[in-house]
Amino acid sequence: MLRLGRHCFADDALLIMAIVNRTPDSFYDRGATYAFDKALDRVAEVVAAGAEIVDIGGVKAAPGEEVDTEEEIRRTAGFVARVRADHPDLLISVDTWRHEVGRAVCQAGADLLNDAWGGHDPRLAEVAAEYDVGLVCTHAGGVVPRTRPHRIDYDDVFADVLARTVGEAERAVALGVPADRVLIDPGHDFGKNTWHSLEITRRLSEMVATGWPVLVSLSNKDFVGETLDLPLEQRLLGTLATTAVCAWQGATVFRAHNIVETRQVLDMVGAIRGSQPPRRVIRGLA
Amino acid sequence: MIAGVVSCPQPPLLLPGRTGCPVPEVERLRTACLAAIGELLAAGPESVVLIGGIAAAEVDRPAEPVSVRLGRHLLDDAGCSVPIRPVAIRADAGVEECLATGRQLAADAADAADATAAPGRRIGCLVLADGSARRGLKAPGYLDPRAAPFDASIEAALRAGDPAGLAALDAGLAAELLVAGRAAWQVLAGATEGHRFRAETYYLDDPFGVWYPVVAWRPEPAE
Repeated sequence: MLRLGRHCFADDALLIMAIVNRTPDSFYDRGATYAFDKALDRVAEVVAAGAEIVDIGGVKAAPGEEVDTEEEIRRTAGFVARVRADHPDLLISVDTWRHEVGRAVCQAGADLLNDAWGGHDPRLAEVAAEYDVGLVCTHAGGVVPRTRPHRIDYDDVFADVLARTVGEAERAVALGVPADRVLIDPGHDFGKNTWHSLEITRRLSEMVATGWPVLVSLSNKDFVGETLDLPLEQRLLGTLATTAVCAWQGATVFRAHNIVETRQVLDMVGAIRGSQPPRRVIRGLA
Repeated sequence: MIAGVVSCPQPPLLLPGRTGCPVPEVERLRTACLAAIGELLAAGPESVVLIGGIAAAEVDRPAEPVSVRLGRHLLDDAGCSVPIRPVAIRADAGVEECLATGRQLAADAADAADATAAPGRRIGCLVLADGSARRGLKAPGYLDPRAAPFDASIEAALRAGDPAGLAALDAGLAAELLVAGRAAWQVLAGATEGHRFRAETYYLDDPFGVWYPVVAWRPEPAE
């Protein structure tokens, strides 16, 4: 069971975490939701499209202009407070690696801290415990935040993914984060090349088998682009194929840009698996 | 003694199959490497010394470093049929250590020539080394404005056939700029100290934000 905010989700749930970035320069949305009003509109849009969680980020993952802690808080905390007020039941996640940002957004009403860089700031887990919010433990190969992988290799990437994510999850619980509020994420493309990202996708069922709910963040990433040799704006189909493969293997949360399409893929896989009913079965039964 | 030198880059993407399907930019680079190595082998060396760096992550591993493995693949693809002697140096080895390693290499080759009473025993040298990985906004190491000028100084030394120019590279700055080949180039500098060469350039591009020079040195003809 996964417990986020006041909600409880069964082990076979298929949830969408919709990306809403408060950045001028993230790789896919490129500032589309940097303005406060545009970002609020986007939250309403993704909720209507079926996302259970919004993931608010203030710093782009790729290298670039420095965004310090104060600026990151400025971009996220006030927005979290407004979203909380407008959408009392919506699960709010914040994409940050910094404990100070974690504290500010938890005070503003966030339900989940999405640490994409794998515990770079060890105090973030303490903040999650203090505020009784959820935590995503992501594998990033121990790299410094906002750096690109350069000639990274692993003796066994999957073993490294399991060891680091499960290790982080257990540490979080030891610090006081409730075990049913912790997720693990293999971290596609974070400290990994396309070969690594394909392998962690292929073997995702082994990650699910650890018992921790699995979050995957696949959307329009370079491993899709490199597999199909397609630019950013043509990666939706590859992303959805990967989404289906991860859903079939038992991932729980899917961090996505394209909510309508992702919802359809997850609903289809859910029905095929038998974990959720098809919407309208009439044909042949009339 | 030295039949010639070829300097090729050392990216993992040049290893067989690592790009998945063949990628045009990589195949262009490979073609340049094989052309340079092919001409080195055509000069008829009796053996090839293969100099490559050991990256930090490779230090405690039993397998040969990527640079040496790549060198072996390139030599094989170019049809090398003479013995290959690998010389692996830690990529963070100090300048003096690198130069000393190179000088020892040259001394060993001279001794071997004397021992076999084979004057003109000719050794080929393949160095695996690339320049900065911080050459642009999309580069693996992002953009550092010092990268292009640093690589330009390496290019100048390579084009001039001047080992002293390579010996003079600043190890600290090279490390900051993710210049993976600094140590291997300085082993070359030690091994070729006091000699001058005519250079031929085959490739100097940076399609992925990392500088990949392919340059050959041939000994200046005797007066």
